[in-house]
Amino acid sequence: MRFLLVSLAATTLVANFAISAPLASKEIDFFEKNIRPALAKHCYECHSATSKRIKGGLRLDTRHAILRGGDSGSAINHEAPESSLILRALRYEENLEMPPDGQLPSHIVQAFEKWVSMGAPDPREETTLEPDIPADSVDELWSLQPIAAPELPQLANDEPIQNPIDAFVLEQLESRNIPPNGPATEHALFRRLSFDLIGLPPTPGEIDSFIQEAQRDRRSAVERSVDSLLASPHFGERWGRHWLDVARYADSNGQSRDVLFPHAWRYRNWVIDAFNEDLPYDDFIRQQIAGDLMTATSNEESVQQQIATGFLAIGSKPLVAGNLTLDLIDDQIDAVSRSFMGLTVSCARCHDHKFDPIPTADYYALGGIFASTKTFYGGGPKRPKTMSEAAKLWLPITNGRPSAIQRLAELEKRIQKLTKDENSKQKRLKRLQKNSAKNTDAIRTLQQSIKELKRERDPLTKERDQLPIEFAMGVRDSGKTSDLEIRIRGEKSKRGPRIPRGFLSCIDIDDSPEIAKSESGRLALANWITHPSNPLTARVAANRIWSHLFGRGLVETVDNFGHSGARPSHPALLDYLASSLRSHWSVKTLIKQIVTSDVYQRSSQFSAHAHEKDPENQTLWRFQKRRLEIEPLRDALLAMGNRLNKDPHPNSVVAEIGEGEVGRGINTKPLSAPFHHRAVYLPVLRTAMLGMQKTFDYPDPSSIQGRRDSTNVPAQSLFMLNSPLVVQSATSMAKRIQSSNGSLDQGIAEAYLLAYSRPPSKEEIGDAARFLRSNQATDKNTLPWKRFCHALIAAAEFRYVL
Amino acid sequence: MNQAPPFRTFSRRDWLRQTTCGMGLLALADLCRANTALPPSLLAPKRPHFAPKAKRLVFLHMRGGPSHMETFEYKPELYRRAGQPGNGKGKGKRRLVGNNWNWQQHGQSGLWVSDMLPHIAKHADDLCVLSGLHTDSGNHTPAMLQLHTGSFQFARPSLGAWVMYGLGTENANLPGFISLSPPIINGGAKNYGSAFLPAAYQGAAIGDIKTPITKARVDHLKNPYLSRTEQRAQLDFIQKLNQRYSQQDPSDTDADGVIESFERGFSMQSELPEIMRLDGESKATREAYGIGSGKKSDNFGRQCLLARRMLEAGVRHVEICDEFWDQHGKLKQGHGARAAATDQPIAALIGDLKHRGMLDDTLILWGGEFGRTPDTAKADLDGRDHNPKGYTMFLAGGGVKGGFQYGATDELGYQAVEGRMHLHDLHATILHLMGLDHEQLTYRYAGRDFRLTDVHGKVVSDIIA
Repeated sequence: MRFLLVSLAATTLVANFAISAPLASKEIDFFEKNIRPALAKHCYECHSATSKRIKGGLRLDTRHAILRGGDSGSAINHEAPESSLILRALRYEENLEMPPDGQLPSHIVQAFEKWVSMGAPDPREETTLEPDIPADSVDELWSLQPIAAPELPQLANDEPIQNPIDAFVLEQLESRNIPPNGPATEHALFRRLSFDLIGLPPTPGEIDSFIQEAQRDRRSAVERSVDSLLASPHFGERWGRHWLDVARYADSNGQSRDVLFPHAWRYRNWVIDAFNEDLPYDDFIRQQIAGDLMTATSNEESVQQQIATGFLAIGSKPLVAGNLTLDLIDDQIDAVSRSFMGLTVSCARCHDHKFDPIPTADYYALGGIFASTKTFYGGGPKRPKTMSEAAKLWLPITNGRPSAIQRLAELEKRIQKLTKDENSKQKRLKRLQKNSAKNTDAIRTLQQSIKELKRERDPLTKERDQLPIEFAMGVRDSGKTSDLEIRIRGEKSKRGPRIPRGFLSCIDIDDSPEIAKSESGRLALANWITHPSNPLTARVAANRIWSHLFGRGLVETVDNFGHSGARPSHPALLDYLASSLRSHWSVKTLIKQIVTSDVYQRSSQFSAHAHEKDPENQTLWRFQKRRLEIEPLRDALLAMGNRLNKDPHPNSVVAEIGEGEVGRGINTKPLSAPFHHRAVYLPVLRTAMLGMQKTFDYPDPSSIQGRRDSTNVPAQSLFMLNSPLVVQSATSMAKRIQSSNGSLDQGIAEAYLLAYSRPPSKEEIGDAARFLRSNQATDKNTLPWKRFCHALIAAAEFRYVL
Repeated sequence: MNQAPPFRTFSRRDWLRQTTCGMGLLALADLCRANTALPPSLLAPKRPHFAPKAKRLVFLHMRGGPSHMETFEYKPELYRRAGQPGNGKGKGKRRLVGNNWNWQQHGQSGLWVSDMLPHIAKHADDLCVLSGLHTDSGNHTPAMLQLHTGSFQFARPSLGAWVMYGLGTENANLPGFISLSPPIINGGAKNYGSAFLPAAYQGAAIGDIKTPITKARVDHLKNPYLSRTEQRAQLDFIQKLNQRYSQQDPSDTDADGVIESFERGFSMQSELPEIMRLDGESKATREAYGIGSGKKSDNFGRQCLLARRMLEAGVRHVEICDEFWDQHGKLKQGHGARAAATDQPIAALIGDLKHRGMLDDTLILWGGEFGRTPDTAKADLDGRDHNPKGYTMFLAGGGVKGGFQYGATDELGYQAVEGRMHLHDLHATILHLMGLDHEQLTYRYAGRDFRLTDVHGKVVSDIIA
C-alpha cells in the first residue's frame, strides 16, 4: 500500500509536471552542467539502479525516481520548493544529512536550490515500474499484526445495534456522512439468500411461505430460512465450489500433457461434504495439508482424511518439460501459502520477496517439507496398466484393509502367470486344430488344461475386483526426509546453503510446532498455520467468506494479503470477523452472523446522494448487485424448467472415461452426454473447458483464484439468445406455466416468480401481455409462452443478484 | 486532463454522470426518447482528438518473444564473439549465441532483415522498425499484460478497449475489436478486456490459440426456432425489460453493457459468418497468404486474410496471435518454424492492404512481449532467454516512416541504448497515430482519471512520416 500511496503521490506530481512546457535547452544545460555530475559523483553510489543496496528506498537517477521519492516521500516538493527533502538533506537540516560523509560545497547546494526553484527540469527519461522499495519489515505489514478483538465502536446515532457487524459498518458511514439504504424487499432478500447460500433460485412455494412468514415477523423468518438453507445439502455444493476455485480444482492436468485425473472427484466431494458437515475450518485446513498424518477414530474417517490431501495433488504440473520435482513443490507451496494465508510465498523461489518479508530461505524451508512428501497424481503420460501399478501412482484407499494392497500384488502376479499360460496354450490349440480335422487326444488335453487354468483364474480375478481398493489423489510422507538447498535465482543446478525444514520467519508463534527429524513436517506446518496466533489464517478465511456474500472482500485482493495487495476497507470489522471465526472455526456460524446483519440485508437501490459520495460503495451503503457465476446461472436455468437433477453425482464424468489424456484418443462420449446434475459436478478439463464456462468467466483452473471476474460480452448475449440450454429451459418453463392452467396474468406472474423470484409490476404485466398477444398466445399454443419465458431468462435481471 | 474527451456522442450514462441530480433528468431523458428503442450506443463512431493518420490497427502478436538479433537487428559483433562469455546477468556461466541466419539489406532503404523472414523483407521499405524498445517484466504473463494493458500489476483496460472508447466502431454489426485465437493462459481474456471501462469496449475473442482457425467457431450464432424477424421482435421485448431494469440504477454500467452486447450479438449473427467465409477469396489471394492444406503457413495465413476482411468491413482493431516464439533451447528450429508459419502471411497482408489502398490508414504492429538475450546457459549455444531490456517490434502503414529503423540495442543486443522507447511510449505513439492524445484519453474510475499510459508515455514523433 505504501507503494501505491507513493505512486499516487507521484501521479499528481508527474501530472503537474507534464503540463509544463517541454524542457527548454537552457534548462537542460543547467541540469547537465550542475546537477547531473553532482548526483552521479555524490549520490548514485547509494541512490541509483546500480547501487548495491538502494538506501532509504530512494533513487535519484531518473526524473520519475526523484519525483517518486523514497521512504520519506518525494524528494522534491513543487508546492514548497524551498522545503524539498533533497534540499533539506543537502543543507544538513534536522536529521537529514546527505551525503553522510560530509556536506557538499555551498556552490553545489546553491545550484540544487536554483534547480529545484526552476521546477527541477530533468531530461532523464527512463521510466521503470520496478519497485525499488526494500521489502516491508514485519512491523510494517498490516496483515502480520496480531488479530485484535476490537471493541464495538461508539456510534453518534444512538440506535440499538442487534449485530456487531453493523456497528463497524455504520461507524464508517457516519464518519463520511453517507446515509445507508434501507432493507431490501422480502422478495429480493429471499432470492439473494437462496442464491448466496445454496446457489439455487427459490421455488414459488418457498417464496410464498417466506413472504407470509416475513410479513408476520421478518427477523424470525430470515433466521428460519437461513437455518434451513445452511442445513440443505446444496449448501456444500455452493460453498464447496467457492473453495474449489481457490484450490485450483480440475479433473485433468492441463499444460502440454493434459492427462486425466479420474480420481480427483473424491477430493471435490470431500470439500462439498466438509462444508455440509461444517467441518471446523482449522480441521478443514489441517486435513488438506496433513490428513494422512492425523489420528482418526474410524477407518472411514482415516479414508476421508487421506482424500483431503488431494488438495496438494491436483495442481497442474509440467509433466514433460520444466523441472517436475521442484515445480510440483512450487505448486504446493503456492497453494498452501496463498489459499490459507494470502501470501505469495512462491515469489521467493528465485529471490527474496520484492514486497513482503519473505526471504528465499523461507521458501526452501517450506520446500523441504514437500520434498519429503510423495505426491500421488497418476502416472502422467505413462499410464498404469494393472491395478497394482495403479496403486503405486494413485493414492490407494483401502477401506479398513491395509493388507489389501499386498494381496492385490499377489493376485495380479498369479493372474498374469495364469493368463500367460493360457495364451500360449490357446495358441498351441489353434495350431493343432488347424492341422487336424478331428479332435485328437492332444487337443482334448489342451482344452482340458485351458479350462482348468480358467477355473483357477476366475475366482482370483473376482477376488481382485472385489478387493476394497479404490483410488484417490493425495500425498503421504515419502519415508525419507530431506532438507532442500536454496536454488540460486531458482536455477536447479545452482545450489546455495541447505535450509532446515521450517515455516515462515515473518510469523512468530510462541509455542510454534516443531518438525521432528523423521517427519516431513506437514502436520507441524498444518498446526502452525491453524495456530490461534497465526495472524493471517483467520483473516484470510473470514475475508473470503465476506467476499462471497458481498461480491468483494473487505480486503479486495482476497488471495494477497501482502504489501502489493489491498488494505482492508474496514480493518476493525475484519478483525472482529476473524476473531469470531477463530473462536469457533464454524463457517456456518459466521455466515449466519453475516447474513442476519442489516448491511447484508440492505437494498441494492441507487441513491444519488450516497452514490455521489461513494460511487464504489466502499462503505457498503447499499448491497452490491452482482452477476451470478456460471454454476448458479446454469443450475437456475435447469431448475426453472424442473430439469435439474438435485442428487449429487456419484463420481464424475471423467471417472467414467477412466485413464487417458485429452486430445489423445479418449472416449469423449461421456463428455457430450446430457448432464443434469448440478454444475459443481461438471467435468473441469484444463485444456478443454466447456464453452459455457469460458463465456461466463470461469476462473483459470490452474491457478488459485478466490475472486471471479464478471465480464459482459456479446458471446453471453448469443448464449442467452440461441444456446440449446437456454432454449430448452424456455420450453420447459413455458410448459410448466401452461400446465398451471391459469389466466394470462397468472401465467405472467408465475413466470416472473420463476425467473426473478418476485411478482411483476402492473406495467410489467401490461408489457408482457401485449407481447404475448402479439404472438397470438392461446391455451394450446406453447410458442408465445416459450418466446416470453425465453425473453425473461435472457434479460439482465435474471443474471443478477439484487 | 480533467476535461471529458471531446466526444461527439454521449450515452445516457455519460450524461447522467455529469449531472448532479440524476433521477430527475433520467425521467426527462425517458420522455425525450420515448420513441427511440435504444439509448445512443457507446460504440457509435466518435471524433478523434485530432486528424488521425490511421483509422484501423492490426496487431500481429508474436507471442513468446522473438529474437531481435535474429530478425531485424544485425549484430555482427555478437556473431563474431559467439561462444565467448556473455556479460549480462549471470556472468560467467553464460555464453554468447551466434547467428543462424544470413543477413541482407533490402529495398531502397537498405534495411537489414535476416533471411528468416524473406517475404516480410520484400516490404522493407514499408517497415518502421523499432529497435530501442524496452519493457518492465521478463516473464511472459506480466509482460503480455503490460504489452496489452500498460500494466502488469493491476487490471487495466487493454489498448484495443481504449481505442474503442476513444473512437467507437465503424460497423455496429461486428465487434469493433476482435482477438483472433488468443491464448487462454498468460492473462487470457485480460489481454483484450475492458477492466473498468464499460464492458462494451472489450475485445471479442474468436477461437483460441489451441484451435485451428478453421475450427474456431463463434458459438450460438444461430437461433434454433425463430426467424430473424421473430427474433428481432423478441429482442425488442428483451431490451424493453433491460431498459426498465437499467433505469432503476443510473450508476449501473453493467446493465448498459448487457443492452449493448445484445445488439452486438444480434447483428453478429448475420454478419460474422459472412466475414469468416474465405471461399469467396480468389485462389491467387489464398495462395499469396500461404493458405493451403498441409502448408505450415495455412493457419496463420487464414488469420491474416480474415484480419484483412474484418478491417475492410470496418473493424477497428484486430489482433492475431501466433504460437510461441519462446526458444530457450532449439532456437534455430523453433524460430525457423514460427517464421515458416507467419512470414508469408504477414507479407501478403501488407501487400494486400497496400494493393487495396488501405495501408495508408491501417497501422500494423508486429512483435512479442519482449525480446531475447544475446547469451545462453545452454551448452549447445542454441537458445536465448527473455530480454525485456531491449528488443524490436515493427510498425507499418498508418502514418509511420517506411524503410526506417529507429533505435538500437548495444553491440551485443543486451539493452536498448539508442532511440529508447518504453512500451508506454509505443502506446502513446499508437494512440497518437490514431488521432488520440494519450494524456487526454482518460476515464474517471474510483476517483481518479486513468489512462493507458498511466503517468508515463511520450509520443515518439521521429517515427511519424
